[in-house]
Amino acid sequence: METKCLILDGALGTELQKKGLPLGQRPEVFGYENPDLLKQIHESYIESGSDIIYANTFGLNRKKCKNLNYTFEELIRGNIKIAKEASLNRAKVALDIGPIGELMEPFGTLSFEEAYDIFKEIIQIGVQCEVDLIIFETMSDLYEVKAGVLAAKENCDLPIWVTMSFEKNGRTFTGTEVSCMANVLDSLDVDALGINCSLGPEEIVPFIQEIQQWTNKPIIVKPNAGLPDPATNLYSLSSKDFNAQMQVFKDSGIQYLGGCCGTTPEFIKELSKDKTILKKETRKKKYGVCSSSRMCEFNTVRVIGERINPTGKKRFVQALLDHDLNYIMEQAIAQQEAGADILDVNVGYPGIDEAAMMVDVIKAIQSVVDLPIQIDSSNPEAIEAGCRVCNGKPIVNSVNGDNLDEILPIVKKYGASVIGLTLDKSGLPENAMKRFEMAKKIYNKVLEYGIESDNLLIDCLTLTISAQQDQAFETLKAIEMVKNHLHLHCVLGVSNISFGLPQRNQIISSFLTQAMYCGMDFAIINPNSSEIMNSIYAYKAISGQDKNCQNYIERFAQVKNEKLPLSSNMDIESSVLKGLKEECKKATLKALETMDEMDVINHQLIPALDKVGDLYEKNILFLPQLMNAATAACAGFDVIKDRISKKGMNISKGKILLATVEGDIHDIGKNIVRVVLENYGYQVIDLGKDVPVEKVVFTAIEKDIHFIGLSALMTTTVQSMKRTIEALRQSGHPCTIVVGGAVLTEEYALEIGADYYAKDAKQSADIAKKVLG
Amino acid sequence: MYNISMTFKINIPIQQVLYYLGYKDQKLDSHLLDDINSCIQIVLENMDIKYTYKLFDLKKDALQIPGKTIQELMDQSTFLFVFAVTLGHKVDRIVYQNQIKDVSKALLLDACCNAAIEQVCDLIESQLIDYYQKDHLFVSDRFSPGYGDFPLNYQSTLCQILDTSRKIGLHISDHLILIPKKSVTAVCAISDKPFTHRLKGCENCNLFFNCSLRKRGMNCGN
Repeated sequence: METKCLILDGALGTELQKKGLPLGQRPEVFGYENPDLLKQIHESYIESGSDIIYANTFGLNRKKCKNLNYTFEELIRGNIKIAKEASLNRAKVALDIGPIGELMEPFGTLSFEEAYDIFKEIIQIGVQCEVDLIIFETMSDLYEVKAGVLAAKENCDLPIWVTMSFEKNGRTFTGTEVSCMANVLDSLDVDALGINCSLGPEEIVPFIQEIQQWTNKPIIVKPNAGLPDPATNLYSLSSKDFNAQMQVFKDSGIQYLGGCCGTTPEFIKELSKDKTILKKETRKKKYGVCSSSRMCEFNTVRVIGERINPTGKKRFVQALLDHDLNYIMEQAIAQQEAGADILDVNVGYPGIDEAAMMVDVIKAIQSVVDLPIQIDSSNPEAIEAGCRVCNGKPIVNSVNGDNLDEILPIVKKYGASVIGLTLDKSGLPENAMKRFEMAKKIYNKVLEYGIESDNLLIDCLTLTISAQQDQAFETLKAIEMVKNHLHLHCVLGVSNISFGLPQRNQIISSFLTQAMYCGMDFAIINPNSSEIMNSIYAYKAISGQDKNCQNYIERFAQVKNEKLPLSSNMDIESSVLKGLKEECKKATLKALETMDEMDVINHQLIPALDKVGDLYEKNILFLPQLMNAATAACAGFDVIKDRISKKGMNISKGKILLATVEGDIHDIGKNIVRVVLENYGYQVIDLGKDVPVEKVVFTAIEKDIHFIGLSALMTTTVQSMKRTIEALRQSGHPCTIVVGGAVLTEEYALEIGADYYAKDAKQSADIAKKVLG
Repeated sequence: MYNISMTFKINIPIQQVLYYLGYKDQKLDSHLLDDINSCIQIVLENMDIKYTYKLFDLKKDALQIPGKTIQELMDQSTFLFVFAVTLGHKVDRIVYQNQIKDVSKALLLDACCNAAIEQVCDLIESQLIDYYQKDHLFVSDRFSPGYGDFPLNYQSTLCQILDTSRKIGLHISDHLILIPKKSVTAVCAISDKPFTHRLKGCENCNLFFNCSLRKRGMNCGN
């Protein structure tokens, strides 16, 4: 079966250069100032066969137009007008939106929210100018794409197209994978997606094949005219060769074809000679959830890490109340290293603004791990906030029989997968059939909302056998029924099964294995428990999901390269001086047998650190050795903190606020200072890097902190430091301000209004001691 | 003249890592040396070196670059080789992840990355020297914005000229910070006469008598 494709246009920049665009001038400005020349180019593409032309608006946004003689608004309007005049309705006109030009958080300085606003501005103008569609092209960051797609969905009704640029290895510069792009954009329900720029048609073929596995949406292919010839720097393909290479796309039913860098109207003419393409059948696509760089396909048993959850975890609750994102990130990293495929994130606790915390926590987790996220909340605001800032496709945990109409629209809008709990307000279902009935109810509602059934994971509820022993088998039976009759994925939070019993992991492992056999394919567990993880590896080997038992063999064949624990009884001071974590931990536990916690801190740990600090000042030790000592002391400190929080006490010597100032992203020095200060017994609230002035002031006042440490590493960001200090002083909040960073000196620090200058971590600790005690 | 392709097989010498860690002949135990060596391996395995350049013919292309040192260099040269190179995002991420997990390791990894990018730049310079030798041309030391009297804010112009965000995924923030962090932009002048003026080191710098950093006992790192 055959149909026709639509032809896009070719390169605009090089055509403008031929018409006289000088080196260094912006094509959007040149086009605006020379409308006839620009019009000629658009016309020549249309006459060569283009059904859709991209307006000359690629680099126009408020960030990139600061030093021009025109506003970005007038440039957008002007260039669209020229495109429309050239078209005269012969071709559709697309608002062409390129990357904003600044790198997105967490590694760059552009926030998701600001990116959204920037895109919104552009789109609103495009709508007013009556463009026919919106295209985001040459994008290399899926997070930026998401901000753009949401801005488009929420501010216009036009078709939304997205093309990204990949390197030969199938990733963008920021690590976005082809499969993740396709999965996320399909789920966000864009109108067409694909690839442009960077590569020639041949190189793009495998990526298009990958995209076709994840979506049935129309696909866009707009390659360069081959790769640049190393000798001449010109693109290697002729228009005939380009067209020949594009044939494979026509044969696989790709609906939108065009050219990017190096192509000309001649290329488009050649391409348009035959617009026949194969009519693609809708095929069964793959499903999964993902981050921008890691896909978790729904094709085998998957582990969902449950540790980011305040329930029954005092230390975690404390971290939430203190906004201690570092602790939460540690939990995320540990779970990833233990083998979790997906991370459940629950931050609901009385006194916490759940929606705001969900955003902060998800963003923090995304900066250190690349696992897909499961948003665990019953608060629709928190769920929506989480879905918005999630970089990738999330799971929403959960809906039940009662809140379907409240939550499913959010799931649909953000293209998430969703867990359905088989219960409602009438109570816990007492048998398998009741669970099955509830599953059916949820399933029907999900379909009503246009959510695909592969995105639904049914949770048949795990009840504690010590309270309701007969329910274990009802749950298992229910899973079988849901699997066999509804063909849905099944998830279980298994830890509950063993509550109140000894040797909990035995029960959990056994239940888990039986559940997997019945068809459960998502296990919400503690991945840090190697016993429980082992039973999953074993099941996958037995069931054949782990081909040739390869992963199982690898897991147990690994020789653990742990250093044999020294049997010597090293004391705290020696273990700290030598930088030995395990030894310090052991020594601390031993010391606690005869001394109380504060004594161990004040008479053993801190004097040991003081000694190390002294040796460091004398250059007998250098920085890595100071750090090793600090991390060893940290291990001892953690033992004590644990014990103390169980007793309900608090050992803090005082609160310290740390931040790397607005615009600066260097934070390794600040993090070193944090570790050292924590080990001296201070409670450190670390706001991270690129911290806005207002946030420092707000947090200092809100959390009643009077000792503030600021870090800046660039002469350009010292200005932010100055403004932060001014704002703190103006607020009237009494505080001591210490500053640090390579560009600073004592005199400059005092000049900008700081109280102290700390040349390194050790000096920060000395100053803290002086001021706080 | 158009294809100055480079190969980037580098080692990371432990001496250079120690330099970046502020080593001053302290006693090193084997435990620390092992840690440094394993961090070197991690960086070598995860770096993703990307490089782009533009060659300007100083007789034809009018380039306005601020700073006396650069002007003097350009006056005596035929070409200006402008380049940008990065170790990529992955190593940045690994360092950041370790800042949460294990700050000591992050410190070592950071120093290994600094040593690596220096090696890469040295390699670019030496390959450039080899390339031009056959034409009997000489290559100056590399010179980056922010060093000596080469203003830091020229860095964004360099990134623009080289189109680094599109070509190698290298961005520059409003505060002139390069992202990925382990990246360098620099120029090398190419002349038919040997360069007598070295650029490295305070004693060769135009700001020697007026340098605010030197007055405080520091240096800009050049």
